[in-house]
Amino acid sequence: MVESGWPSEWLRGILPLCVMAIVISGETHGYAVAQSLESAGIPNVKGGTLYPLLNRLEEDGLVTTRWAAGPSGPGRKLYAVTSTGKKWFAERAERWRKFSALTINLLDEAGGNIQ
Amino acid sequence: MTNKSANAYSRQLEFQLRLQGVPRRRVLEIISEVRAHVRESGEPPYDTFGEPRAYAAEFAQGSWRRWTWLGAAVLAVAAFVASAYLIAGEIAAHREFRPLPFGGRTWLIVAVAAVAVVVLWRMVLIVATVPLSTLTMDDGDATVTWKKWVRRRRVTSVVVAVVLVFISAAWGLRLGSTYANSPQLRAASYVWASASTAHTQFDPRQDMVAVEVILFQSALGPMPTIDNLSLSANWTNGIDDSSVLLPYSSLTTAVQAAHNHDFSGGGGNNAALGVTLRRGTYYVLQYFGGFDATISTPTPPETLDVSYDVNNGPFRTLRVPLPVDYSNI
Repeated sequence: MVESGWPSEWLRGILPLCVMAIVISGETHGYAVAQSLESAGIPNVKGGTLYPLLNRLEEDGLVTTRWAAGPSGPGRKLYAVTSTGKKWFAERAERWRKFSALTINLLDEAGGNIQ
Repeated sequence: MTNKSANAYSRQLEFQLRLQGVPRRRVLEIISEVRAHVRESGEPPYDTFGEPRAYAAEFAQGSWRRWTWLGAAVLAVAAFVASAYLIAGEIAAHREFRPLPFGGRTWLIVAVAAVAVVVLWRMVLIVATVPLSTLTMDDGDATVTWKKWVRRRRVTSVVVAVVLVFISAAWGLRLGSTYANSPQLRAASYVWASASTAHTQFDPRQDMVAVEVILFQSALGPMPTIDNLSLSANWTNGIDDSSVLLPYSSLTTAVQAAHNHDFSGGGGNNAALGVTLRRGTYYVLQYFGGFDATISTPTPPETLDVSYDVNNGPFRTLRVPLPVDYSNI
């Protein structure tokens, strides 16, 4: 049930929260985040979007990074959530639940009217 | 194929990142991340990361260093203009005993020159930046393209820097020579003297001589304060220092005032001393004194030579034929 791609303006709004959801479940690296997003049904998130986003999350203190030596070639940058990040995520996730409940409600009503 | 394009992409990205002022360490991190992503995903870097310049801009946002180039250029011009101006001013000041530009604050000149050097050095650093991670890469076409690109960039930068230096130095020297040629205190001299062999005024044994000088400040720099006036004449052994300084809004009115000289403006002993001139104002400085003609000159001379100076500048001498012909004044 993988969609070919969600409207980019939707992604712009929700992607930080989605990325945080992935990072919060365990220290991970950039490409793994992309893969997790894909398996979660949000494919085709470009590196040009993902890494600047991770960079901003880091600048905002929501994630912390460290370098780990890779088995082959140069090391990888690993992202882990901070306590600020957890707080931020809990608050945003809660608000998103409310927001999406509201929008679903609205859409259901409209859908009922169409039928 | 992917590896090759990853290398090419890395080089361009690195150059863009450094150009946009991202710190060295961050540059290496960002590039390593790109390479890791490309290696693992197998995606073509241009597709997934977009244009290197735009991708670099994502990491350089809010960085004041993005303005480094523009700032460096502006600062370089300003510093060169200022230092050339100051140097030319210094030379003029020493040659002609003029007040120094900006009050002759040597530290200012040193500071400006230091800024110029730092700015130039920064430009040189940018121009001469050796790509960090690309030195060990070796992959034919991409490397050649990259090298060409860097070379073109450097040549352009050097040319721009040289042009900047020349233009600003020329500009500064021009400003400086304007300073050198513009009298800090221009003494357009109008002499009114009651000196005559007839001794008609006042006491027949005494006469008055008055020198009128128009002062105005035409050069940049702080306005001078008159702290010294002196007057001497070739056939007097005593001139009372007495002066008055009258401000006028234009040169014409000042000259007229000098022509229609009268002493009613007041004055008194050294009234002009301690006055700080205002910019855009023309001053008629009158200084005058009585002298005893009979004692010092048994035979009245045919000319009156009046020497004067302001603020210990060079002495200027006016030769006034006697008796004074007012029509020439």
